[in-house]
Amino acid sequence: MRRAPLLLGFVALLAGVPAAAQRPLDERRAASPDGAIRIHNLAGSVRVIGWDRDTIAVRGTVRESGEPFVLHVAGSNAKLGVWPGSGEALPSELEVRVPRRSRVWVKTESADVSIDGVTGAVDVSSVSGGIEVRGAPGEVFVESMAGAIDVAVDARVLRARTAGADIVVQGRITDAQVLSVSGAVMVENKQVERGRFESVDGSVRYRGGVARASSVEFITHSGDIDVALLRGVSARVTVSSFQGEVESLLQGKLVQSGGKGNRQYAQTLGDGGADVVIRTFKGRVRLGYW
Amino acid sequence: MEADIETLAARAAAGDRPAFDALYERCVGRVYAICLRMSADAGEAERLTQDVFVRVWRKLGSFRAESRFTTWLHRLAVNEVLQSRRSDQRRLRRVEPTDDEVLLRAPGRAEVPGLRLDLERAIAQLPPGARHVLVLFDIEGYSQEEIGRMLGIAVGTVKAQLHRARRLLRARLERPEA
Amino acid sequence: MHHPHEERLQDYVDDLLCGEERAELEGHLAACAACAEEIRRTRELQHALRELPRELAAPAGLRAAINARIDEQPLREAPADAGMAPPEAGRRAIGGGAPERRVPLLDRPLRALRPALAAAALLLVALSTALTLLLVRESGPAVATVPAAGTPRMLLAVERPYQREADQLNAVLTAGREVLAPGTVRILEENLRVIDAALGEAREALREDPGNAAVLALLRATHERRLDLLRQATRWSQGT
Repeated sequence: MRRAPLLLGFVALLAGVPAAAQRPLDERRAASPDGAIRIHNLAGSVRVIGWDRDTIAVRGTVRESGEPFVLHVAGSNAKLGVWPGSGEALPSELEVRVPRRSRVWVKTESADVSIDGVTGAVDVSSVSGGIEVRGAPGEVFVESMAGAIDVAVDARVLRARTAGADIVVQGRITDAQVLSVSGAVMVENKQVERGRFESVDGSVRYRGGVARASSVEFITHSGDIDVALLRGVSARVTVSSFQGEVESLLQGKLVQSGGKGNRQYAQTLGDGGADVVIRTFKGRVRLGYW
Repeated sequence: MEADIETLAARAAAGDRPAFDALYERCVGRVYAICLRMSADAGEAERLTQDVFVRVWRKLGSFRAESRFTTWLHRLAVNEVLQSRRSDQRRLRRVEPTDDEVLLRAPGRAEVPGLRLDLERAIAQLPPGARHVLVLFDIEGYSQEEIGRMLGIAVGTVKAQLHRARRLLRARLERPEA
Repeated sequence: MHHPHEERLQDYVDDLLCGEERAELEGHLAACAACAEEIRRTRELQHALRELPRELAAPAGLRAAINARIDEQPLREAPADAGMAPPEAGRRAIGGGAPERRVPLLDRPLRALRPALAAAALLLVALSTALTLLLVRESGPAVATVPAAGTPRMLLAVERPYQREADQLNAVLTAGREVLAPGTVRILEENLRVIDAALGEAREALREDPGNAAVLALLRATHERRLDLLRQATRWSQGT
């Protein structure tokens, strides 16, 4: 499975950027164990790690001539990072340790973001930076127009969207919406209860289970759809396609109704508990077991 | 044995307890969400959800299958929340802060804008009238007329509460970049 | 400039204004960035509300408690007419059957149902690098009633609310274009082209087969993706 590039900015940091232009950071503040933390860094990289101390610790480098680094804690809220000034944003590399139960909000433009070990909630918004999330964050909201998204989590809610970049999702997510325009959506999920996996041009691939009373949709315009379900799953699978090929290796018969341009297919696995809906205009549809 | 909700409801109406259990499993998440968002209190929501399902069991015989079961169920949940609130008010004479400025300045307000993360929390902190209307309109999808009927208020009041809720949520969730 | 009352702006967001009122307000929005921003932010809130999970995890042990209560008092009401109040007269009927309310947003089968109001069709041509917007209006008869399903006007009616919101978002983007990096603009344009191509194919299919509900659902989904994209870019350019 493809993965988003990890923290290219961080690698640059290790490779050694001219020291004169950079100022090292090493700051700490006491913080609430489950507060809200807002991180802002337009360019460079942001790495967030949850730890078991009630402290926010920031290490990294910022550019001397750039905007100042800010770290401010007030009650259960904290904000840190580099806010945009009048010129072009200079890259800063930030490694931020936060109390594990924090709710973390990150905004970047081109900086790559990586979050691991936060259990409160995660909200990341980027334009072209990649986003990587690991751990059991409870709720994950991630969006990047052009940066790849790579999420491997145990979470109740996932909302992920891109315009042109791929989204890779792994783990156990109860309520997922993974949307793209031209990026591919690739999901490996133990069991979803409510899901919408959609791309206009990109392909949508799902490997995993669906809970018995769940409701899951796979939608593309021209992207291929490839759904591989766990054996033993109980689901009613319906497919509608305007003009793409539809093939099923699932047990039982794929029954076709409707004519040219309005082909509908249905197949029932087990007792038909889950509701699995596949809709495409002209993508190729493949159904099978994982 | 899995079957669709309507079939399970029909069987439960006929007294089939396992079917009722299966119906519970399928529907409880949604009912709990309605109760929790409307009441803004986890303990209350738990009690209300129980009441809803007990009532469902008792009333299933009188459910007319011309509307969908889930429509009936969700309406029942909403009514349960509103009824319980009315009797609370009679019993406890709660004092509600009505000054929105006070609410906006109250401690514990998020200073960190992050619309999606704090949304549920922000909804929970709305004053009850505004919260009920927001949940019923913007989340549950009832029309303003129906909400007026359910709450016993005029449509104009529904609009005012809705707009107030949206204004408070936005004020709480949107802050200018500091 | 005279600004509309807040209630009118909110009613606009909720699609509750009649044709004339709506046209008048849209005229104002085209000229007033402040009100347009109000509308945009309210819609952002609405979208965030709609993305909330529909179900929440109920505490364990609830089922046991319920069953215990039922066991204590197993008596049930006789199947008399003691149930919920019937659907009231005067409600908007959506499709077949008579649902008691407009389809709950969180229960909609992810086909955003919008009220169908006919008007002239607007075709959006992809944004150029300088983010100038070309609107090609295909003027058609302004019709106040809902066109019957299966006619080409139905398509215009379906697309119009999406087009309206897209136009408004584009206006905000155009006004704030200096904030967006050229690379971002390029990504936006590329993906809008992908979407427009998809919409074109879906429209073509619907012209040949207007009753094709599956393609109509895809058309709506693609429109939602376009609005999503424009909202994302607008959020970025407006700093929200």
